[in-house]
Amino acid sequence: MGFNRVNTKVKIKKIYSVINSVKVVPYIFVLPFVITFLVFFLYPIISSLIMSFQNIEGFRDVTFIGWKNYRNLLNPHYYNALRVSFLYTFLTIAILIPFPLVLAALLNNKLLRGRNIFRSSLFMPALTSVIVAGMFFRFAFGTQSTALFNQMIGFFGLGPITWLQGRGTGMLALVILCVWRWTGVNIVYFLAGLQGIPQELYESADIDGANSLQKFFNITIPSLKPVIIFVITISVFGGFSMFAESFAYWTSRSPGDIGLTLVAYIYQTGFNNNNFGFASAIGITLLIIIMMVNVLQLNLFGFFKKD
Amino acid sequence: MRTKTKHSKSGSYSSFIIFTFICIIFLAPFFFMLVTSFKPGQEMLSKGLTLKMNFDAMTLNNYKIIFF
Repeated sequence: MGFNRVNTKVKIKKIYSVINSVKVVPYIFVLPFVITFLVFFLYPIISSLIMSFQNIEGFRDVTFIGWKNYRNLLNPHYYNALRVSFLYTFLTIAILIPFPLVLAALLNNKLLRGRNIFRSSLFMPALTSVIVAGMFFRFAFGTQSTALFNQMIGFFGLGPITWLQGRGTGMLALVILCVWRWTGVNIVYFLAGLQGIPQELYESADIDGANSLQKFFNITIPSLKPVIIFVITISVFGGFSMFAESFAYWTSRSPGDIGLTLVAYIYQTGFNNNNFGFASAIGITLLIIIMMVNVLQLNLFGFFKKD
Repeated sequence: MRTKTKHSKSGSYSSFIIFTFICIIFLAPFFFMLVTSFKPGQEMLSKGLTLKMNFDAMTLNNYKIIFF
Protein backbone atom coordinates (compact mmCIF):
# COMPACT_ATOMS: atom_id res chain seq x y z
CA MET A 1 0.00 0.00 0.00
CA GLY A 2 2.80 2.38 1.12
CA PHE A 3 4.93 1.35 -1.84
CA ASN A 4 2.05 2.18 -4.25
CA ARG A 5 1.60 5.65 -2.72
CA VAL A 6 5.30 6.40 -3.09
CA ASN A 7 5.16 5.11 -6.67
CA THR A 8 2.22 7.43 -7.52
CA LYS A 9 4.02 10.39 -5.92
CA VAL A 10 7.09 9.69 -8.02
CA LYS A 11 4.92 9.46 -11.15
CA ILE A 12 3.19 12.79 -10.40
CA LYS A 13 6.56 14.43 -9.76
CA LYS A 14 7.81 13.09 -13.08
CA ILE A 15 4.76 14.48 -14.93
CA TYR A 16 5.23 17.88 -13.22
CA SER A 17 8.91 17.99 -14.16
CA VAL A 18 8.04 17.17 -17.79
CA ILE A 19 5.31 19.85 -17.90
CA ASN A 20 7.60 22.42 -16.30
CA SER A 21 10.52 21.67 -18.60
CA VAL A 22 11.69 24.41 -20.96
CA LYS A 23 10.90 22.20 -23.94
CA VAL A 24 7.24 21.58 -23.06
CA VAL A 25 6.08 24.85 -21.42
CA PRO A 26 6.04 26.94 -24.65
CA TYR A 27 3.78 24.37 -26.32
CA ILE A 28 1.38 24.45 -23.35
CA PHE A 29 1.17 28.25 -23.57
CA VAL A 30 0.49 28.08 -27.29
CA LEU A 31 -2.07 25.26 -26.93
CA PRO A 32 -5.18 27.46 -26.24
CA PHE A 33 -4.54 29.42 -29.45
CA VAL A 34 -3.85 26.27 -31.47
CA ILE A 35 -7.07 24.61 -30.22
CA THR A 36 -9.13 27.76 -30.88
CA PHE A 37 -7.61 28.10 -34.35
CA LEU A 38 -8.27 24.45 -35.22
CA VAL A 39 -11.82 24.35 -33.88
CA PHE A 40 -13.11 27.80 -34.88
CA PHE A 41 -11.05 28.62 -38.00
CA LEU A 42 -9.48 25.64 -39.73
CA TYR A 43 -12.31 23.14 -39.18
CA PRO A 44 -15.06 25.48 -40.56
CA ILE A 45 -12.91 26.37 -43.59
CA ILE A 46 -12.15 22.72 -44.41
CA SER A 47 -15.77 21.79 -43.72
CA SER A 48 -17.02 24.54 -46.08
CA LEU A 49 -14.51 23.45 -48.70
CA ILE A 50 -15.87 19.89 -48.54
CA MET A 51 -19.48 21.16 -48.53
CA SER A 52 -18.78 23.26 -51.63
CA PHE A 53 -18.34 20.01 -53.60
CA GLN A 54 -21.59 18.55 -52.26
CA ASN A 55 -25.30 18.84 -52.92
CA ILE A 56 -26.83 19.24 -49.46
CA GLU A 57 -30.57 18.93 -48.99
CA GLY A 58 -31.29 18.54 -45.30
CA PHE A 59 -28.85 16.87 -42.90
CA ARG A 60 -28.75 13.35 -44.37
CA ASP A 61 -29.22 13.83 -48.08
CA VAL A 62 -25.65 14.70 -49.02
CA THR A 63 -24.10 13.76 -52.37
CA PHE A 64 -20.76 14.64 -53.95
CA ILE A 65 -21.29 16.54 -57.21
CA GLY A 66 -17.73 17.60 -58.03
CA TRP A 67 -17.27 21.11 -59.46
CA LYS A 68 -20.97 21.64 -60.26
CA ASN A 69 -21.48 24.27 -57.50
CA TYR A 70 -18.51 26.24 -58.83
CA ARG A 71 -19.81 25.98 -62.42
CA ASN A 72 -23.19 27.28 -61.16
CA LEU A 73 -21.42 30.42 -59.91
CA LEU A 74 -21.32 31.69 -63.50
CA ASN A 75 -24.73 33.33 -63.23
CA PRO A 76 -25.91 36.99 -63.32
CA HIS A 77 -26.80 37.04 -59.58
CA TYR A 78 -23.24 36.11 -58.60
CA TYR A 79 -21.70 38.64 -60.99
CA ASN A 80 -24.04 41.30 -59.59
CA ALA A 81 -23.15 40.38 -55.98
CA LEU A 82 -19.46 40.52 -56.89
CA ARG A 83 -19.90 43.95 -58.50
CA VAL A 84 -21.86 45.34 -55.52
CA SER A 85 -19.31 43.99 -53.01
CA PHE A 86 -16.33 45.38 -54.96
CA LEU A 87 -17.96 48.79 -55.44
CA TYR A 88 -19.05 49.03 -51.81
CA THR A 89 -15.57 48.04 -50.56
CA PHE A 90 -13.87 50.51 -52.91
CA LEU A 91 -16.16 53.43 -51.98
CA THR A 92 -16.01 52.82 -48.24
CA ILE A 93 -12.20 52.58 -48.30
CA ALA A 94 -11.97 55.70 -50.49
CA ILE A 95 -13.89 57.64 -47.82
CA LEU A 96 -13.03 55.84 -44.60
CA ILE A 97 -9.26 56.26 -44.88
CA PRO A 98 -8.66 59.93 -45.81
CA PHE A 99 -11.67 61.41 -43.95
CA PRO A 100 -10.93 59.92 -40.49
CA LEU A 101 -7.19 60.48 -41.03
CA VAL A 102 -7.68 64.23 -41.51
CA LEU A 103 -10.14 64.39 -38.60
CA ALA A 104 -7.73 62.49 -36.34
CA ALA A 105 -4.87 64.83 -37.29
CA LEU A 106 -7.05 67.82 -36.40
CA LEU A 107 -8.25 66.18 -33.18
CA ASN A 108 -4.65 65.58 -32.16
CA ASN A 109 -4.15 69.33 -31.88
CA LYS A 110 -3.88 70.18 -28.17
CA LEU A 111 -5.13 73.72 -28.79
CA LEU A 112 -8.51 72.41 -29.98
CA ARG A 113 -11.15 73.08 -27.34
CA GLY A 114 -13.56 70.27 -26.43
CA ARG A 115 -11.60 67.67 -28.37
CA ASN A 116 -12.61 64.89 -25.96
CA ILE A 117 -16.28 65.73 -26.54
CA PHE A 118 -15.70 65.64 -30.30
CA ARG A 119 -13.87 62.30 -30.03
CA SER A 120 -16.68 60.67 -28.05
CA SER A 121 -19.38 62.20 -30.27
CA LEU A 122 -17.76 60.81 -33.40
CA PHE A 123 -17.28 57.40 -31.76
CA MET A 124 -20.89 57.11 -30.54
CA PRO A 125 -22.35 55.75 -33.84
CA ALA A 126 -20.03 52.72 -33.56
CA LEU A 127 -21.83 51.77 -30.34
CA THR A 128 -25.23 51.45 -32.00
CA SER A 129 -26.41 48.14 -33.37
CA VAL A 130 -26.37 47.77 -37.17
CA ILE A 131 -30.05 46.91 -37.18
CA VAL A 132 -31.01 49.99 -35.11
CA ALA A 133 -28.89 52.28 -37.31
CA GLY A 134 -30.10 50.48 -40.43
CA MET A 135 -33.76 50.93 -39.46
CA PHE A 136 -33.17 54.62 -38.77
CA PHE A 137 -31.55 55.20 -42.16
CA ARG A 138 -34.18 53.03 -43.88
CA PHE A 139 -36.90 55.39 -42.66
CA ALA A 140 -34.70 58.45 -43.33
CA PHE A 141 -34.30 57.24 -46.94
CA GLY A 142 -38.06 56.64 -47.20
CA THR A 143 -39.93 57.15 -50.47
CA GLN A 144 -42.31 59.77 -49.00
CA SER A 145 -41.66 63.44 -49.74
CA THR A 146 -41.72 64.00 -45.96
CA ALA A 147 -38.84 61.54 -45.35
CA LEU A 148 -35.65 63.10 -43.94
CA PHE A 149 -33.33 62.89 -46.96
CA ASN A 150 -36.10 63.86 -49.39
CA GLN A 151 -36.83 66.91 -47.24
CA MET A 152 -33.12 67.77 -47.23
CA ILE A 153 -32.80 67.63 -51.02
CA GLY A 154 -36.10 69.55 -51.14
CA PHE A 155 -34.22 72.55 -49.70
CA PHE A 156 -32.19 72.58 -52.92
CA GLY A 157 -35.33 72.50 -55.05
CA LEU A 158 -35.08 68.79 -55.91
CA GLY A 159 -38.05 66.44 -55.95
CA PRO A 160 -38.38 63.29 -53.82
CA ILE A 161 -36.19 60.29 -54.77
CA THR A 162 -36.91 56.61 -54.23
CA TRP A 163 -33.49 56.16 -52.60
CA LEU A 164 -33.65 52.47 -51.81
CA GLN A 165 -34.95 51.45 -55.23
CA GLY A 166 -32.25 52.87 -57.48
CA ARG A 167 -28.85 51.25 -58.05
CA GLY A 168 -26.77 54.40 -57.47
CA THR A 169 -28.87 55.84 -54.66
CA GLY A 170 -29.09 52.44 -52.95
CA MET A 171 -25.30 52.20 -52.94
CA LEU A 172 -25.10 55.78 -51.63
CA ALA A 173 -27.44 54.84 -48.78
CA LEU A 174 -25.22 51.85 -47.89
CA VAL A 175 -22.05 53.95 -47.98
CA ILE A 176 -23.60 56.74 -45.85
CA LEU A 177 -24.60 54.20 -43.19
CA CYS A 178 -21.11 52.67 -43.22
CA VAL A 179 -19.35 56.05 -43.03
CA TRP A 180 -21.61 57.17 -40.19
CA ARG A 181 -20.88 54.01 -38.17
CA TRP A 182 -17.16 53.53 -38.81
CA THR A 183 -15.60 57.01 -39.02
CA GLY A 184 -15.21 57.16 -35.23
CA VAL A 185 -13.55 53.74 -35.05
CA ASN A 186 -10.98 54.64 -37.71
CA ILE A 187 -10.33 57.97 -35.94
CA VAL A 188 -9.46 55.99 -32.79
CA TYR A 189 -6.97 53.84 -34.75
CA PHE A 190 -5.35 56.89 -36.36
CA LEU A 191 -5.24 58.82 -33.08
CA ALA A 192 -3.42 55.91 -31.44
CA GLY A 193 -0.90 55.99 -34.29
CA LEU A 194 -0.53 59.78 -34.15
CA GLN A 195 0.30 59.69 -30.46
CA GLY A 196 3.25 57.41 -31.22
CA ILE A 197 4.91 59.91 -33.59
CA PRO A 198 7.85 61.63 -31.84
CA GLN A 199 7.29 65.39 -31.40
CA GLU A 200 10.96 66.02 -32.27
CA LEU A 201 10.14 65.29 -35.92
CA TYR A 202 7.60 68.12 -36.00
CA GLU A 203 9.93 70.44 -34.06
CA SER A 204 12.77 69.89 -36.52
CA ALA A 205 10.33 70.41 -39.41
CA ASP A 206 9.28 73.70 -37.78
CA ILE A 207 12.93 74.77 -37.63
CA ASP A 208 13.26 73.91 -41.33
CA GLY A 209 10.26 76.17 -41.98
CA ALA A 210 7.79 73.44 -43.04
CA ASN A 211 4.12 74.41 -43.11
CA SER A 212 1.24 72.29 -41.75
CA LEU A 213 0.50 70.57 -45.07
CA GLN A 214 4.16 69.66 -45.62
CA LYS A 215 4.34 68.24 -42.10
CA PHE A 216 1.14 66.25 -42.70
CA PHE A 217 2.32 64.71 -45.98
CA ASN A 218 5.99 64.24 -45.09
CA ILE A 219 5.83 63.25 -41.42
CA THR A 220 2.31 62.24 -40.38
CA ILE A 221 1.33 60.01 -43.32
CA PRO A 222 4.67 58.10 -43.60
CA SER A 223 4.72 57.57 -39.82
CA LEU A 224 1.15 56.27 -39.90
CA LYS A 225 1.82 53.78 -42.72
CA PRO A 226 1.49 50.63 -40.54
CA VAL A 227 -1.81 51.92 -39.08
CA ILE A 228 -3.10 52.82 -42.57
CA ILE A 229 -2.22 49.31 -43.80
CA PHE A 230 -4.03 47.78 -40.82
CA VAL A 231 -7.14 49.94 -41.35
CA ILE A 232 -7.22 49.11 -45.09
CA THR A 233 -6.85 45.39 -44.32
CA ILE A 234 -9.79 45.33 -41.89
CA SER A 235 -11.80 47.61 -44.20
CA VAL A 236 -11.32 45.20 -47.13
CA PHE A 237 -12.58 42.37 -44.97
CA GLY A 238 -15.42 44.52 -43.57
CA GLY A 239 -16.44 45.70 -47.03
CA PHE A 240 -16.59 42.26 -48.61
CA SER A 241 -18.32 40.69 -45.61
CA MET A 242 -21.02 43.38 -45.38
CA PHE A 243 -24.49 41.91 -44.95
CA ALA A 244 -26.40 43.34 -41.97
CA GLU A 245 -26.64 46.84 -43.48
CA SER A 246 -28.12 45.46 -46.69
CA PHE A 247 -30.47 43.24 -44.69
CA ALA A 248 -31.65 46.19 -42.56
CA TYR A 249 -32.47 48.18 -45.71
CA TRP A 250 -34.08 45.53 -47.92
CA THR A 251 -34.35 42.34 -45.78
CA SER A 252 -33.33 39.33 -47.87
CA ARG A 253 -34.37 40.56 -51.35
CA SER A 254 -33.71 44.00 -52.82
CA PRO A 255 -35.32 45.39 -56.02
CA GLY A 256 -33.13 44.43 -58.98
CA ASP A 257 -30.58 42.91 -56.54
CA ILE A 258 -29.19 46.39 -55.81
CA GLY A 259 -28.29 45.39 -52.25
CA LEU A 260 -27.16 41.85 -53.04
CA THR A 261 -23.63 41.49 -51.70
CA LEU A 262 -21.66 38.24 -51.69
CA VAL A 263 -22.59 37.50 -48.07
CA ALA A 264 -26.24 38.40 -48.76
CA TYR A 265 -26.10 35.92 -51.67
CA ILE A 266 -24.70 33.27 -49.31
CA TYR A 267 -27.59 33.94 -46.91
CA GLN A 268 -30.13 33.84 -49.73
CA THR A 269 -28.92 30.55 -51.23
CA GLY A 270 -28.17 28.91 -47.88
CA PHE A 271 -31.11 29.88 -45.71
CA ASN A 272 -33.83 30.87 -48.20
CA ASN A 273 -33.18 28.25 -50.90
CA ASN A 274 -31.69 25.58 -48.57
CA ASN A 275 -28.75 25.09 -50.95
CA PHE A 276 -25.87 24.93 -48.48
CA GLY A 277 -23.44 23.36 -50.95
CA PHE A 278 -23.77 26.25 -53.38
CA ALA A 279 -23.63 28.76 -50.47
CA SER A 280 -20.34 27.14 -49.35
CA ALA A 281 -18.94 27.51 -52.88
CA ILE A 282 -19.75 31.25 -52.77
CA GLY A 283 -18.13 31.42 -49.31
CA ILE A 284 -14.93 29.80 -50.58
CA THR A 285 -14.72 32.23 -53.52
CA LEU A 286 -15.29 35.09 -51.06
CA LEU A 287 -12.42 33.82 -48.89
CA ILE A 288 -10.13 33.65 -51.95
CA ILE A 289 -11.16 37.15 -53.13
CA ILE A 290 -10.54 38.73 -49.69
CA MET A 291 -7.17 37.00 -49.43
CA MET A 292 -6.15 38.07 -52.93
CA VAL A 293 -7.21 41.70 -52.47
CA ASN A 294 -5.44 41.91 -49.11
CA VAL A 295 -2.23 40.31 -50.40
CA LEU A 296 -2.33 42.71 -53.37
CA GLN A 297 -2.75 45.81 -51.19
CA LEU A 298 -0.14 44.62 -48.67
CA ASN A 299 2.27 44.03 -51.56
CA LEU A 300 1.43 47.47 -52.97
CA PHE A 301 2.30 49.11 -49.64
CA GLY A 302 5.56 47.16 -49.46
CA PHE A 303 4.48 45.17 -46.41
CA PHE A 304 6.41 42.06 -47.53
CA LYS A 305 9.60 43.97 -48.36
CA LYS A 306 12.55 43.40 -46.06
CA ASP A 307 14.10 46.63 -44.72
CA MET B 1 6.79 83.30 -33.08
CA ARG B 2 3.86 85.52 -32.18
CA THR B 3 2.36 85.30 -35.67
CA LYS B 4 2.77 81.51 -35.52
CA THR B 5 0.79 81.32 -32.23
CA LYS B 6 -1.87 83.58 -33.70
CA HIS B 7 -2.00 81.39 -36.78
CA SER B 8 -2.37 78.14 -34.80
CA LYS B 9 -5.04 79.73 -32.58
CA SER B 10 -7.10 80.80 -35.59
CA GLY B 11 -6.56 77.28 -37.01
CA SER B 12 -7.91 75.71 -33.85
CA TYR B 13 -10.97 78.03 -33.97
CA SER B 14 -11.74 76.96 -37.52
CA SER B 15 -11.22 73.30 -36.50
CA PHE B 16 -13.64 73.88 -33.63
CA ILE B 17 -16.31 75.14 -36.03
CA ILE B 18 -15.72 72.25 -38.47
CA PHE B 19 -15.94 69.67 -35.68
CA THR B 20 -19.06 71.24 -34.21
CA PHE B 21 -20.73 70.96 -37.62
CA ILE B 22 -19.55 67.35 -38.16
CA CYS B 23 -20.62 66.32 -34.65
CA ILE B 24 -24.10 67.78 -35.20
CA ILE B 25 -24.40 65.62 -38.34
CA PHE B 26 -23.08 62.53 -36.54
CA LEU B 27 -25.31 63.00 -33.49
CA ALA B 28 -28.46 63.99 -35.40
CA PRO B 29 -29.57 60.35 -35.91
CA PHE B 30 -29.62 59.87 -32.11
CA PHE B 31 -31.82 62.94 -31.73
CA PHE B 32 -34.18 61.62 -34.41
CA MET B 33 -34.21 58.16 -32.76
CA LEU B 34 -35.21 59.81 -29.48
CA VAL B 35 -37.93 61.93 -31.09
CA THR B 36 -39.21 58.94 -33.09
CA SER B 37 -39.57 56.89 -29.93
CA PHE B 38 -42.34 59.31 -28.89
CA LYS B 39 -44.20 59.02 -32.22
CA PRO B 40 -47.01 56.56 -32.94
CA GLY B 41 -45.97 53.71 -35.26
CA GLN B 42 -48.45 54.64 -38.01
CA GLU B 43 -46.88 58.08 -38.41
CA MET B 44 -43.49 56.52 -39.17
CA LEU B 45 -45.00 54.28 -41.84
CA SER B 46 -47.04 57.03 -43.47
CA LYS B 47 -44.60 59.95 -43.31
CA GLY B 48 -41.21 58.26 -42.91
CA LEU B 49 -38.61 59.86 -40.70
CA THR B 50 -39.37 63.55 -40.97
CA LEU B 51 -37.80 66.84 -39.89
CA LYS B 52 -41.18 68.29 -38.92
CA MET B 53 -42.23 67.58 -35.37
CA ASN B 54 -45.85 67.31 -34.40
CA PHE B 55 -45.71 67.74 -30.62
CA ASP B 56 -49.47 67.20 -30.25
CA ALA B 57 -49.24 63.68 -31.70
CA MET B 58 -46.36 62.63 -29.43
CA THR B 59 -47.10 59.79 -27.06
CA LEU B 60 -45.52 57.65 -24.33
CA ASN B 61 -47.29 54.55 -25.61
CA ASN B 62 -44.09 52.98 -27.03
CA TYR B 63 -42.46 53.15 -23.58
CA LYS B 64 -45.63 51.83 -21.93
CA ILE B 65 -45.46 48.79 -24.24
CA ILE B 66 -41.83 48.15 -23.27
CA PHE B 67 -42.15 48.49 -19.49
CA PHE B 68 -45.75 47.53 -18.65
